[in-house]
Amino acid sequence: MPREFELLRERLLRAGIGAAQAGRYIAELKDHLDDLAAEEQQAGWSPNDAHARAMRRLGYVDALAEAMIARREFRTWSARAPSAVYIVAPSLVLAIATALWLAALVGVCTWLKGHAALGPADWPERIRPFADGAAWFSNTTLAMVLGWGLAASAIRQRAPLFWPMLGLVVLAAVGAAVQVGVTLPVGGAHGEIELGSGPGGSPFGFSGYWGRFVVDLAATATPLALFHLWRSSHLPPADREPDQTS
Amino acid sequence: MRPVGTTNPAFMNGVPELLILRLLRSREMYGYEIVQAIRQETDEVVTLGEGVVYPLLHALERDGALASRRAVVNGRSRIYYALSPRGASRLTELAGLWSRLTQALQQVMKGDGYAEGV
Repeated sequence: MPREFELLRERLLRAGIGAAQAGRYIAELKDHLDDLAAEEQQAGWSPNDAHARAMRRLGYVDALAEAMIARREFRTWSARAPSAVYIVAPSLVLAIATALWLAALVGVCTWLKGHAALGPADWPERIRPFADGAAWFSNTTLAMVLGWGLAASAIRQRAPLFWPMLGLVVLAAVGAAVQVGVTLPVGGAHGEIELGSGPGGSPFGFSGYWGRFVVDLAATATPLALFHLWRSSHLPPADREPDQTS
Repeated sequence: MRPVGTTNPAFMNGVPELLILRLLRSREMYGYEIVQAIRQETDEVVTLGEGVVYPLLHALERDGALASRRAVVNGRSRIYYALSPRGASRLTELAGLWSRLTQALQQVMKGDGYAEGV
């Protein structure tokens, strides 16, 4: 019954049932099918007939899917509130992650400043690699990593393309717009955190706002679009029951 | 005797939950065992769809009425379900409700007061 289980999994995922929930349901159904087939064989049926009878007793894809889909408590948040999950949450995570590393940087600077033993002119250089690396990651990579996470989640959940794609567009726009600059307090001067926002630079060049936007969007949306193309040609349609007469 | 569930599904509302909780009171079982036990204990009057029992088990577990554990038996991994303290309370509540309901129905079925009154 592998094809039926594959079909059932697709149908459950597309209806918004969580991947882990669907996986557990199917694993238990497979075990149940094996038990039923063994019981039918003990009753004297040939292996093929026993398997067919076991399948009939287990139930067909429509009934099995409907029994799970009818329970709304098993639907994921991405199915219940796709705009919140795919649009709001990634930008929120981006903002929180940026705020967290900036807060950590300020905390480290404050702590070091209070330890005079390090020498006032010496300590900023010790954390410069960390500060520069975090700023680089935040400005160039963080939004892309979050976008890949969003795309992977949408692929795993077989989400319709609209909300994840819109989410990737918004995330690329926000990620490219929010740029952080850090100036460490060297030589007794005050340090600075600069937060730039809004589009700038050439709309057709691959630098500045538009360059980052295009690169981020292409890098994250392409795998999602390719998966959808592959799925439509390789996986069974979830809205058609396979042959039930066998 | 024809199974109740196949002749009139409306009569089955709430019955599978009650039976599952009652069966799991005595020992833990996996899905296949539960379906077979229901069939045997009710002399095949109540039969559950073999596959559709799992969403109900998962829902009961999510509500805290059941606890589950994975165990390997004879080389096969199984998920065993057991009644939790919360499930035991729920069973007591459902059994009381069911008892009052059946008593009331019996009273109506054997009496003819309504027909005489009409």
